[in-house]
This record gives sequence, C-alpha cells and structure tokens, in this order.
Amino acid sequence: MDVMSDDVLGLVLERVDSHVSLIRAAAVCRRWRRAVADAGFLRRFRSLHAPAVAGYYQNGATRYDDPVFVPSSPPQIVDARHFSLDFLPGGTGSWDILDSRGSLLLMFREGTGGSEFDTRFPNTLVCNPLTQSYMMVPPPADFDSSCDFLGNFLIDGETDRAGGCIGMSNFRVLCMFDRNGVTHVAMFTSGSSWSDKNIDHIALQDPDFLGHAGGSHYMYVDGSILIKLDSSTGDFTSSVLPAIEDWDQRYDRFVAEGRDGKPRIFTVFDSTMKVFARLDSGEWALEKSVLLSEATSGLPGYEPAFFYHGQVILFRGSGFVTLYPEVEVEWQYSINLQTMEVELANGDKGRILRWCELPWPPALHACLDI
Amino acid sequence: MASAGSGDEKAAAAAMITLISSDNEKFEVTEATATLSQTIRHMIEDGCTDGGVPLPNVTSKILARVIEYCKKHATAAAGEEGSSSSFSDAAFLEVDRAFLEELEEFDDAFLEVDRATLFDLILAANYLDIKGLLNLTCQKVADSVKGKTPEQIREMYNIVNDLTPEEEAEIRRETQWAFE
Repeated sequence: MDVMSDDVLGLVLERVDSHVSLIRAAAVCRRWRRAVADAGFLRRFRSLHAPAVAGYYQNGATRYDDPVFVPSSPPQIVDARHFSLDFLPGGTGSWDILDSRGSLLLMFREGTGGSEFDTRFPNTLVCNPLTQSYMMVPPPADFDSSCDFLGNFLIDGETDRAGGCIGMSNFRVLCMFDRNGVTHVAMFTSGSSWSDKNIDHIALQDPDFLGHAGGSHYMYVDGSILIKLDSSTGDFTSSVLPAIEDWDQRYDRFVAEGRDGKPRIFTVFDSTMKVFARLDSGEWALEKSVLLSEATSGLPGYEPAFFYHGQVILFRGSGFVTLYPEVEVEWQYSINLQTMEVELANGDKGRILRWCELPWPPALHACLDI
Repeated sequence: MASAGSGDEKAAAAAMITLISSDNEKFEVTEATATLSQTIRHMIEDGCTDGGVPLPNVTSKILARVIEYCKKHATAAAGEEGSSSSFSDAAFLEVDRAFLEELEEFDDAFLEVDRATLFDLILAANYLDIKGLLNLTCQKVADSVKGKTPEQIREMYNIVNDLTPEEEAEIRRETQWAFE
C-alpha cells in the first residue's frame, strides 16, 4: 500500500461504500487518517454516497413513554444502544421528538405544570444521539406572554467545507408563533441567536400542520392554500390545491410520503379517501379515490356500521396510512397509498417515524497534526 | 464524403501500436485497444508513437494483463457504438444485455489476482489513465476494507501502524459508535 500515491489512495477510499468503514479506515495509520480527514476528500465522498440512514425513532404511545429507536434492517449499521437518549437532561421520558434532520433530533418537553394546550414556548433542545451532545434552544427574543406557540422545525445550517449541511455546529431551528392573530417566523442559528424571518410574501394565517414528506413540512391555510416549508433552506412556498375537493371543510387532511419518496396529500370524508399527488408541472391532482366501506368489506370482522360514522387516522407511514372506525378502535386497517389495497393493521404502529442518519462529516480531529 | 470518412476510420482502427514494457518486451495492439488509455491516446494525437511507446513504469507481466483488459473492453465499446446507431429493437437490446453480462463476468474473473498484482494493476491503470480499469481495481480494494477493523486492514495490506496506543484510544473516543 505504501507504493500508492496519495491520489490513488484517495481513489480507493472514496469507493468505500460505508460510513462506518470509512471512519475505521481513518484509524489505520496517519497517512490514511490525513487522506480521509481532508475536507476536499470528505466533500467528494459525500457527493458520491447517499447519507447513511441508521434507523428511525418513534415517540412513545403516550407522552410519558420513552421514544424508541428502531435500527435500519438489514444490515444494522451501528449498534442500537448508541442511539439511547439517556443522556438528555431529566432523562428520556419527559422528551418527545418533534423533528429530525440528518443525525440530529429536535425535541421538546412541556413546561412543568403545563397542559396539553400550553401556548407557551416549550422546553426545546437539539441533540445528536451518537455523540451524546445536546443544546437547549431558548425562546425567540420577542416571544412574550401575548404569543401563542405554533411549531418548531429543524432546518439545515450552512454547508461546511466537508459537505455537511447539518450537525451540532451548523443547524437552524425555525419557530412559528402567533401574536394577535398574525403568524410570525423566527430562525435560530446554532452558535448565534434568533432573528426574524420575513414572510410577507406568503399567506400563513392560522396554519394547520399536515405532516412532512420528502424533506419538507406541509401546512394548510384556509382558501385551499398549501404551504411547503423546505427543511434544507427554511423557505416557504405556497400553491393552490385543486378545486375538486372542498379543502376548507376537510378536517382529516394530511401529508404522507409515497413509496416513491414523493409527497401525497390525502383526505378522508364520508368514508371516501382521496389521494392527491404532485405533477411534474408542480400542480396537485387527484391520483386515487376509494370508498373505504367498500374496499374494506372483505376484511375479517367488517361491519357496515363501522362506516355510519367517521374514520380516525391513526398512523401515516411511508406509502401507507392506518385508520380505524370512530366506533371501533380495535378494528384497525392499513391502506396502501399506491395500490389502495387494504389489509388489517398489525401491531402498534401508532406514531410518526423520525429518520436518523449517521453524522456528516464524521468527527476526525485527533492525530492530524503530524 | 461520408464513405471517405468511414474509410479513414477503418484505416485508423486497423492501425497497430507497439507498446514496450519496462523489461523491454514488445506488445503489438490495435489503436482501438491502445486508446482506452488516455495517456497513449494523447501520445498518438501528438504523433509520438513511431518506433513504439516505452512504458518504463509497467512490467511485461502487468502490461499483458492490462492489454487483455483493454482488448475486451475495446470490443465492447465498438459493439455498443454499432448497436446504438443502427438498431434499437428488443432483440438487439437482449444481445446487448448478454454482452454486458459477459463483460461483467470477465471483470470478475480479471480481478481474481493476488494483492501485489492488484496494486500493480492500479498503478498501471493510474499511469496509463484507463478509467474503467482504475475504477474496477480501486473498487476491489475498497470492497475488501468493508466491515474490517483497523487492525485487520493493516494486516491485510502490511501497513505499519504509526499511531501510539494513546492516539488510537483518542481516535476511537471521537467516534466510539463506529468501533463497537
């Protein structure tokens, strides 16, 4: 290996198709370590290899249960015990995951004595489970008792020299809050503080949060307006939803990710489920429509009475949605967003998944001086 | 005009180039085979291949293997050009696929060499600037590193560990999760 020039060594190392193997290769000797830790090399490696997804977190069934980590399968990249959240202040149990991005989690905890409907800014932190580091995020400077908290989102920071766009030293948190009926947006930058974000160009009154898909969060504003918040830029864009649905009257409207990784909006009303997809032109169009009472009629335990009342949406997964009739919580069924095929749901998939990647760039600081 | 052009190409394809290894062995190859190497392609363009191309960094043993690779892939490239320009029906695509599979099998078999030879091939591919061969051989080494500990990698490639135990411990502490 000594006969290889640094160029050739770089060609070999950039083809190592695993983040963990790359970190181990950087512990072989000084020369290999320097080659891997070089910012230009890391940037190139990042452009050649997709981020390594380590698994996902799920919040507990109730706010008193711990979030659970489920490693990606197979192969399991890193031992699941390294994703424990025990290091968080006050223990794991009190914290819930609000958002995830790259290797980071955005977590919140209700203030002591706070109710479910607390309108104050919740205790908020950003953490990296693998490095067991966290940073508390204070409320925006101008958030006072006249403000109602709406939501927090994790946003990429500045891209660093190694091609990393989010980590403990470069993340942002976007906060939406209401003051006197007007929505305000503030952005917290790691290593700095809050600053106001101008949203004059966008109608953002009384947003209804629909969910996230394909690296963006979606909101609904009365008048058939769909707002997209891009998690990499922190910018809002809006589009008008097709008039074939009476959007203002649909309270069961959500966003889920299709199997193709692209977002879908779906509504459930009068036991009809409609799925809307985004066309290449950027417009939203009806993709599928299904009468749930009919589609589920062949499932064991089906009763027509289940559809005299509404359906409750329990879970939005990648490419499927789980529902149950208002009158029979135990009879849960899943519907495939692509094929609209239904099956009885198994297990307790009651929560939204938060994907977690391995940190980029990896921490390579020691023993580079000589 | 068109026929004159294709006639020139035929003449060029049939032209032979002599490659001379470091131990002075001579290899006659077609220009199509030789020009898989960007280094040789530039020499031909500059008109400095008369009397043979000396390759002082490549032994005859390695050069023979490199030429074997280039011959196979030059044929493949010629086949692809022919198919894409004149045919597009399913039957021809089927033939293409079979050919690509055969090429993959050839590559796999080609890589069945000891580590010393593999490194020599990388160096030769790098020096001669043969993209496909460089990619193939570097990928082989990269794949061999996967799932190994630093110690296993050192043993595999006779790499001297110039890190002290204290430094190694420090390195592991930075990314503990990647080592357990």
